[in-house]
Amino acid sequence: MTTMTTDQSVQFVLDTVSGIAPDVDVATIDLDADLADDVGLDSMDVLNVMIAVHDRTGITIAERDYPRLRTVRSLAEELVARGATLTS
Amino acid sequence: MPELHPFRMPSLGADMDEGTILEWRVAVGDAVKRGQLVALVQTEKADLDVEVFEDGVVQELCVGVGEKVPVGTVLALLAPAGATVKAPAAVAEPVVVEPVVVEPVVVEPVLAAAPVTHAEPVLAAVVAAPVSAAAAQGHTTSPVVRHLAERLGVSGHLAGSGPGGRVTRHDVEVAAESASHEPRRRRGGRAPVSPRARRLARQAGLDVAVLTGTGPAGAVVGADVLAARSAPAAPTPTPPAPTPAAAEAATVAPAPAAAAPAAATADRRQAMRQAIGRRMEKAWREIPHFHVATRIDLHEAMAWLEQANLDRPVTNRLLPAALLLRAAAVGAAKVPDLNGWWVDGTVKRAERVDVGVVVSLRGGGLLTPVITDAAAKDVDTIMAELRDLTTRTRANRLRAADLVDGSITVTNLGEQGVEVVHGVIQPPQLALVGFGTVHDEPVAIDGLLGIRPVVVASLAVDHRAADGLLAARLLRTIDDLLQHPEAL
Repeated sequence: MTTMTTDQSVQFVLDTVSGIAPDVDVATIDLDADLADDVGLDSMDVLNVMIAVHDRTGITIAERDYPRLRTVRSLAEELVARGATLTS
Repeated sequence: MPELHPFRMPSLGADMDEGTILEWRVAVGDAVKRGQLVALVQTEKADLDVEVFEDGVVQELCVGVGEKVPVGTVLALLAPAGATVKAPAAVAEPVVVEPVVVEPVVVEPVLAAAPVTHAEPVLAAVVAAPVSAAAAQGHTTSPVVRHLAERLGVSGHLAGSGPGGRVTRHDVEVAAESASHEPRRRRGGRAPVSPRARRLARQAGLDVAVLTGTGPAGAVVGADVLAARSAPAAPTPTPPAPTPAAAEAATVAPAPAAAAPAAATADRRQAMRQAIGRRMEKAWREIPHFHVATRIDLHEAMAWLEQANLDRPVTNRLLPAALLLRAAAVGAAKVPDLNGWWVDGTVKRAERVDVGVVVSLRGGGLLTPVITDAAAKDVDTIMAELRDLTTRTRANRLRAADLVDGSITVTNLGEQGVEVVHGVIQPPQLALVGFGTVHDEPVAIDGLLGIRPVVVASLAVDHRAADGLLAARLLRTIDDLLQHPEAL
């Protein structure tokens, strides 16, 4: 199984956000918008995103890394940097 | 002649007067067990699964799908467990379960073939004539179930396990699960749609919700939109003639495709707004409120949480909200005169702490599901329940058991960035605990200036039930508890 490309990772993050907050229109999310302040995800949503990331890729994002992974792009790039592949 | 027990429309909240049956999950002749979910009921605030409270056999379903009835109305009659119940003649069609085509596209075929000649909820039209419905293949599935099938990406033939061969919600969910390896928790969300698909759909003026997805887990991808765009025009949604005027129909029958879901959601929002409004008016009118607040140093609590989370897998991570909830619950147990209700002019203490948790909905409105016996549950259990309740609340998948009356309510506006919330008590409760944002503040520590994470905890109290002294005691207790998070 090959690691995700950045595009695939971005799509994965958007799909994950959409699954957790289906009323958010992911088509209009700015990849550099703050998921909490701009997109409107609260801490429960963010936790659910991290859990989904772990379930689908096996990657655990530590709480101390949250501050630098507040946008779709930064989270997607982090997953690519850590060699994420979709395991389910 | 077996003695029949009535199963009545339960009260699913202090201010609920009536409810509408959206779906029956059992049929005449089915054996039911205590606690089994037997119907989906729509109230102003939420769609709730309701359970029976005793074992038995369904003798008769007295209220049909789509009917709105007052609390207390007999919904069904149950014969004692073990009784044999013959299905009534009208529904004793050939036992053969007819496969029903559930198309993940628009619902028009139902309306076109079974014309509604007067403003009557479409569901009632389907169910009220089970014989003709069963005979007309493809029309024994309620629009609610069709909508669910469409959202879960379930297509093709499904055997219906409901009365008369009807495909039920359960059938659709089972099919959705076996079709893909969707984890159960996705039940509440629609099939994923890729950003490219959404963009293409928007450009083409198509509604992604009606497209069949061919991507992973039924996701709608760009190719699906392109295929739909170039396909010979699919039956354009024609407005049903006449447009159903009844509010029930507008809420439950999703047609024409794109406009109705938005209108239905707006209707539901409006109904919820009104329900909240009535409750808050009553609270202000009847309860003489007073408010107290205090700043709580969360240095110990946040340090404990950080370490606790390093020791836990991500699935079990704790949010500060769970710790605050636990502290509020244990505090309420220690100040029992603020944990209960104002009944007949006096305080009625609750036997345990059932904490109502205010969950805000993204589009506006809020619901208050309850974590029962919270003072007896550890913080991990509370976190798991909080996560489950929040997810199901926002997906409109609550059960009647979630909306029992709490003995005290907690509202946490920390995420919204406000420092303090001066709330409104949920009648007939005695108090409301509020938490604002956890934020860094300069604090005096041993005569020196330090920076600490601080939260402002507030309490709204019914002045008929208690005075400032008791209110202060509860807040102080919560403060003390949060200074020793390891003991929570």
